[in-house]
Amino acid sequence: MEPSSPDDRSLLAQIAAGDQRAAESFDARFRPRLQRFAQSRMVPFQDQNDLVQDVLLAAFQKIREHKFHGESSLGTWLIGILSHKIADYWDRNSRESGRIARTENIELTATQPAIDRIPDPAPHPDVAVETRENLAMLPKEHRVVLLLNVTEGWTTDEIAALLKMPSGTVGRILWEAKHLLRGNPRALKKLAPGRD
Amino acid sequence: MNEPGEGVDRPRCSQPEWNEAITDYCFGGVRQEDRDRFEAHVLECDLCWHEVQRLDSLIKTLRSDKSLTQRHFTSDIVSMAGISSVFPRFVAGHRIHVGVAAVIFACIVALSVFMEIAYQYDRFAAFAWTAAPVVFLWMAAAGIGALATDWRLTRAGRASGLAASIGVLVSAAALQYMVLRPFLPIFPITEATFQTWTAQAAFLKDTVYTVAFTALFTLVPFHFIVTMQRELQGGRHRMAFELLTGGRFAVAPTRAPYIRAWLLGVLLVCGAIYSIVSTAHLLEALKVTEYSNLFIHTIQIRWLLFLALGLEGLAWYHSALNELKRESAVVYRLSNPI
Repeated sequence: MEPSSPDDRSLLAQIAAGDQRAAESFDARFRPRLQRFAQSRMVPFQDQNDLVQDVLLAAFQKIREHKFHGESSLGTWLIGILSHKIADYWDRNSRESGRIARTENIELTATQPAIDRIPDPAPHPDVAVETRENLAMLPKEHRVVLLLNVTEGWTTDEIAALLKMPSGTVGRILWEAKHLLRGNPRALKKLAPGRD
Repeated sequence: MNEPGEGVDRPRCSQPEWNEAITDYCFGGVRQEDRDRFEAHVLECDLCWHEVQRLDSLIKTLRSDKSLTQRHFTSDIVSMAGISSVFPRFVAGHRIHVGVAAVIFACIVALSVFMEIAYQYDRFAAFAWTAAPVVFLWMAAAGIGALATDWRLTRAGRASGLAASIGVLVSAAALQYMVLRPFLPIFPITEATFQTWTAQAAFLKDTVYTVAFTALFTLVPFHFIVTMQRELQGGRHRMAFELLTGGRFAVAPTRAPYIRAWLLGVLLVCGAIYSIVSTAHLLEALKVTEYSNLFIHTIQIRWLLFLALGLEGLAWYHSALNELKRESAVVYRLSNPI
């Protein structure tokens, strides 16, 4: 990983000097990304804000105490803080769950994660149009495999049984379909060599 | 028409390794150690971050907005995975079954020629060896023709497929009997302690039995299956699902009787037992001559061929019913998520 860019170093220096606008700029830039990363680590939606807030506060404190020396990149450093905070979060959470289970003598059962219970917002019309267009242009078998996997939650083995295909083939088609949905030209070249 | 992504000139990260990882990351298919490295990069790379946001939106839309996905989805699944997808092909995609059933059916009828002249094989061998191959070819063609007629009429939306296929088979059998009749002896050939039938009458009886058996074990199941394939292709998955799973509101399509596979199995077993008993009675009464061995062998082979025709039809029917159930259940499950 490369060390931090000059812009980042300047931003950190300003934060260390107590510049409030620099801190706001840092917050605006990194908060959404950290929130997304917390989501990818299965932190429930309702706890993501608090957790990211903790990460940013810890980062500001360390910057102001000049504890970030730039040996690693800013990104690696922030991910390190996020990982620690998330580890603490799960540790605290499991202790809390165990305590509740013991005191109330209830059985913990696998339930739907909270994040899944929160309804998704209505898609932006542009995104909906792009999704529809990309879907319509996928080869049929790619579309079927992608939809069964992504929207219906079927595993590759289940899809393979349904379509009477080897699991490996379904896995390959799924990989291609995901890249094609994104509009990744590399996948297109692998799918049909020579097509640009 | 553009391919996905073509014509969209989006700036991409200068490091292809990360650009490739975006897809895996957003679909949740990245390993933990790669994820940490990737996220550290995304924290500093605005291009990758924007691409992650864009792909996240696409995936979220895909998961949340069912109206986007239902448009072609059912028809895609059916056309790829379902038994109804092969309905437009010759004999609705059941070529092997049709071929095998027709050959066994024709073998039985052709073998009857030998069976009915066996006791005087020295006199009628030339006739049998000439007539049997012709009978075989004619009846095999008739069998295929009957099933193909059913498929064509069903595909055209007509309900008369079963009647037509039975008509084709009966007509072909009647015609071959009319042609063979003058060459068949008008006196009893088989020698037994009781009065046996004349060769002409015995051959007619054999033909009638064979046609009836084939109609029950081949034509009726085939008609039901192709009719259901047509119904599924027409999107009537709910009806098919109800019918095949014994739902309260199940209604079979017009003139397509639904004989349960287990019932056919029971009929086959009963028929086989009856046949064993009646054959044993015949064998006990046979007079021993130099050709009684040939007669007994033709009876045994014919019995085995009947069994093969029944078992093949039953196995195919069971498998096709399962395919129908599978297709209707998948589409029903997708259109009625739990």
